[in-house]
Amino acid sequence: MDKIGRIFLQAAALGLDRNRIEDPGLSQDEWRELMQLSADQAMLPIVFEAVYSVIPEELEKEYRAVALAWICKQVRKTESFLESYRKLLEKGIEPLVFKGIVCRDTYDLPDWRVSSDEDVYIERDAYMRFHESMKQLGFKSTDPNFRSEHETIYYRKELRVEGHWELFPQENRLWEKMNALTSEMLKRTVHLEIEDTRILVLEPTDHMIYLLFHAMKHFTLAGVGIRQICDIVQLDKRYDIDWTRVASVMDSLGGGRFTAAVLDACCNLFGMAMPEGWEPEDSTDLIEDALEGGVFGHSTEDRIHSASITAADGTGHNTAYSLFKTVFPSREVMEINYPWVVRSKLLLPVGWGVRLFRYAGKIGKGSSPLRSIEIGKRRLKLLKKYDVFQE
Amino acid sequence: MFPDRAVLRRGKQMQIRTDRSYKYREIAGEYYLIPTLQAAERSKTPLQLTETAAWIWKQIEQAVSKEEMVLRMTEEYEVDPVTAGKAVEQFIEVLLDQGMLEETEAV
Repeated sequence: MDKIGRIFLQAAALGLDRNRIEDPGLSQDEWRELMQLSADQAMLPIVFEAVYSVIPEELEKEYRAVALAWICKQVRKTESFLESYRKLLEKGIEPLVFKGIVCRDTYDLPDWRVSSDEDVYIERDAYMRFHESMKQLGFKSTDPNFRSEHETIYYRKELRVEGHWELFPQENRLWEKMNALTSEMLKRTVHLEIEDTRILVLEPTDHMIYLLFHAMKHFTLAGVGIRQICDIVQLDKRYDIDWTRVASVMDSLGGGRFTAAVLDACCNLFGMAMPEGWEPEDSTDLIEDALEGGVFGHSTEDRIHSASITAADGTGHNTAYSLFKTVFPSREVMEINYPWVVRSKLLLPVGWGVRLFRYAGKIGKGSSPLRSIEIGKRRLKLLKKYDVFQE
Repeated sequence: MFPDRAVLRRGKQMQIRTDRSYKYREIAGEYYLIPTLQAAERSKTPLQLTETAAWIWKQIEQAVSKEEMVLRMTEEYEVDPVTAGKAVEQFIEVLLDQGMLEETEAV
């Protein structure tokens, strides 16, 4: 791990508890590198909280403005979401909320942990009522014809809500298993009060299992970010998690070794205690991968494209198929940068064309298909190291 | 509502409370009120507060009466009751003028 990565992790751990870092003696360029890494990991406000008193004055103003803008936007989005949720409740609709606001609630500084969207789940039978209500509340859907097999995305001004009738997509055998397991979780929901609004959420151990599922899903695509590791640490800090149940479920998915590595990272980076009954798995490679990949592994175009190789491996196909999928990725992978492809089946080939055209323009300017394949192959080794896909 | 908290405004006894669409946050050692919902429709610009103003806002949020607030301020900032009273009155006036407090007629 390089110096900036090490300081980033230290500052992130301190910022989570509103503690400050001692002056690490960085040059102006190194400070910029640190703040860029923090932004890539969607953790700039948390890191800024730890460094604002030691960062050079001219940079302090610049990054304070960025941190303030991120936090203000999150505060507005949270209020907008909660207001919408209350209106849905008035209409007799009670969506299950997961990730985003539920994770933020476990942080001492909730709005510092920014989310690009909020996720809700509504049973398939009740979904159309939810959909109509969202439209009445002024939301626009990116997929009015329901082409996606598991979700619809809604926008209203700054707020983006993902409405799910399945928690995971279905095109990958691992995710299919995850969907099968989540049906049990949906029978054990509880309520959580956030700013005077009572929201329906997964029971904490189930939410932990969900976060680990979700981390594993992103690990099989482009990567897990440091913030996903923080979410796990914070959830463990806030609630009494039944780690025996977590072990049983994650083992049944072939995710036991991956989970042990994630827990090892949680302990090494953020001081979490290793849960009883768990043996740590060396997380060095996982942490390096997380630092390089940014939030959800989306730090570079090459890396996003490499997800086609790792995702294809999860379907059990050979290398030739994997390479084909690098050029023509699944809708799930395409959605990362081209969310409009979900609107219609016809838009997926259009998306491939736009992607190839854009990518061709970047070859020689830092991006390269060969690099995507290299990253993909390296990440496949990592997946194998942690037994993901080994059943 | 804050039953023991009243200010004289436009010749009437009014009860006040913070407008819930403004959210108070302490960010990296500085204090801000962040407009959300209807308040953000007017302006999204956060309002930076001094430490004393932030302290008064928090007292209003906690439904502390004006008399109690003045008393607490004399202890917290070691000022005399007249100075504390003026500071509280002036800031509440500013907040009311800016529409950042909700007021209802005192019962």
